[in-house]
Amino acid sequence: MSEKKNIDRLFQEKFKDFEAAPPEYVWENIEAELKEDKKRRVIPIWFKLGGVAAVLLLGLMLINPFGDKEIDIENNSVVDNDKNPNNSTNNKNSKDNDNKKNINSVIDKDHNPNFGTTNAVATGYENNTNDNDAIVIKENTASGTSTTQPNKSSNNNAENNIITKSKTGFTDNKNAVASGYPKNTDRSDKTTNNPEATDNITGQNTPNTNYNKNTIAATNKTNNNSNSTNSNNNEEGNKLYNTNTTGIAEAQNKKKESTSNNNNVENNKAVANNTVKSTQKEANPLIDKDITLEEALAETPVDTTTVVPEQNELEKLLEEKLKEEKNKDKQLAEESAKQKWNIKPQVAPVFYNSLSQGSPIDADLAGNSKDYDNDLSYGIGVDYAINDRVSIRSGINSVNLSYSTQGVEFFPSMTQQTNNISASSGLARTANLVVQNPSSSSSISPDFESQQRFSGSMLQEMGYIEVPLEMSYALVNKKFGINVIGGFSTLFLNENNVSVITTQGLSSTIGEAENLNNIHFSTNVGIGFKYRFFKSFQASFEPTFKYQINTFSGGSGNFKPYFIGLYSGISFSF
Amino acid sequence: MGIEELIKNCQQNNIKAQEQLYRLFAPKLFAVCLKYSRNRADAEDNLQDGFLLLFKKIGQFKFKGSFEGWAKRVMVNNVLQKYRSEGIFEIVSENMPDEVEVEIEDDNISMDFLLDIIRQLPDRYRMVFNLYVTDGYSHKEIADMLGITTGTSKSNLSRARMILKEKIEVQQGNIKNTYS
Repeated sequence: MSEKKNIDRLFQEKFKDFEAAPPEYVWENIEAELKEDKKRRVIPIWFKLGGVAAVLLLGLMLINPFGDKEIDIENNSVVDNDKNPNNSTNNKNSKDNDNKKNINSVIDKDHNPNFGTTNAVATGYENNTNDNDAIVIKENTASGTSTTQPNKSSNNNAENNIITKSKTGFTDNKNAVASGYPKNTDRSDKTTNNPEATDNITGQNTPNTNYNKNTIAATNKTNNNSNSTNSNNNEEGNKLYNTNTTGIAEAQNKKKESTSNNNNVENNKAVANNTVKSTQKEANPLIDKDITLEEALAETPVDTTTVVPEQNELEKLLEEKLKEEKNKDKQLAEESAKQKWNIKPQVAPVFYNSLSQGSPIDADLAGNSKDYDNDLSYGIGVDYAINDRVSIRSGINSVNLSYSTQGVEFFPSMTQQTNNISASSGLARTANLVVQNPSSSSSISPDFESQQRFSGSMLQEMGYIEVPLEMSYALVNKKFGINVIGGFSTLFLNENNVSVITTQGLSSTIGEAENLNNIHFSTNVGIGFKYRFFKSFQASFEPTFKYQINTFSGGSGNFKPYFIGLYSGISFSF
Repeated sequence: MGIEELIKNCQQNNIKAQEQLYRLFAPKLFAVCLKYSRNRADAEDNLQDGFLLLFKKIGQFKFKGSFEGWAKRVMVNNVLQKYRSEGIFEIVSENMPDEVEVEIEDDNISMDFLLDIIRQLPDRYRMVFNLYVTDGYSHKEIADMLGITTGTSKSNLSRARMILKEKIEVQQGNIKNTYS
């Protein structure tokens, strides 16, 4: 049966309802790519988080660059220039208060020429010698009464500020000016005699402790996570191994099919289930290579176990690509393995706190609210990579920690001493002040019933040289990396100072804490984020929790200090 | 789940919906790829890339006209784009033969054979022939799509017809010979 037919019509008729079932692995490839796309979309979130962290860090540094001292100077200059009339009047007011207090003290002195009192006032003005006390005070009263003269009052300010500067951690006067900084204005409340002020501060403190607790919980969580990721990594490793072994048997066409499946799975970076699937497929006999299209048509939704097309270029390409990627990864790992040493200058804002209420100075002060200062730690870190995932780290950091005990009362005494405080060996003379809670009046001997008492806070400062010894394990080790850090630090005491600050902001060193150990330790747990932006350079950000052990000899008054440092730096590997 | 809902879910990158859509349209679109590609391996390759492109662009489908037609266009464009980017449109002679008629014995020609001879055509002949004959594009459209003149498109089509005719006739002859 022969007929003439237009060639166009022949093809049109034949192709009109032409359908062909593609092999299953085409979908698997597509699925893999789609999932990869989704994964890619996840990564920017990390970058965003990193960005947020960086901005936070930068913000912290801008607001509080190197403790409080620098801000002092800045603010003082504003006051001196009288650029901001409001603030200067504020200052004048507080100045007036100060002066009034001074006058009071002078009067007191006149009525009760008590040696102890003189001493206390004198120590308030550390620059003055004992003999000149009276004159200085008189000068102050004079200027205090003549506040109408702006020059003199600003002089007073300057004088006060000098005192402020001479005492580290004495943070009050400067704040009156910096109304732009909300934190500072809060603190300036402290200088005014507002009884609510301390409450406010404690209010601020409590969320702070909460936050810290949260971070601990978070680190624990991340640890758990890290475990699970670990196992994932292992699985991935196994997969890699599988593909390699099957890759050897490449000569056989049948196996190539399964290899590509494995590769896909690996490409997915999905769970082990997929590997199981593909191995099952491998187990199935793969025969019909040259299945005709009509047969393929008849068999609708595709089944790889029966439809096995020949090895095609797509697969080859995929294999090659994956091999290349693997090689790249290996190269990267090798590179970082070659560069075993890593040196990193680092800075960290340090947030000091205690897990429990307590006072290492005196158990009586345990209930008082504590104001923990945020300081800065800086130093240099060294890192030695054992392999591409595990490394040992050490270094040397300087870290200063301080806190103040609020709501204490102190008075000069000849016969009594504050617990755990001895005169500083470095200083020529310190005031012998007794610090106690305002309520415990029983301890006053009757001889000094008319004695003057000051209320204020007690500041304890500690400086350490910290030598950490830590291990880090990389959960993610690519351009962007995440690692968990654990270890301990040895801390050598190099600064030890206790001082008192009156509510008016006058400060005096009373000595040093007797019960601070010269050497103590801390256990460190942290999580590190790093980003390699250049071959040998990487930026890192490592929030680390350090719990201090054996800080105090004898009783620590239930004080369980810890600090959280946000260590960040740029490291160089070689 | 209706096709519209399925497409909407695909537009939200729902992987389950994407798989369903693939299962639904893959046979038809694989057929398109088979006839436009040089061989089966290429066709699979093109199907994969075409679907990825389709899922990427599915947000642009505004439910005007049939989805199948749209999907086919995406597939065809993907293949054209690919061969164009590979720069493998070889130079072909462009003289114009007359209308081509071919004598065939009905039902004797298998789909496989037709596919085979189409694939053996030079790339551009294959494109033009498929676009014009089986997918109903005009010479103007083809010229725009391939970046050639309508004259070239017409000439390519005629040459393609000639080659196909010869091959069919050879095969028919073979069959006749075996029977006689």
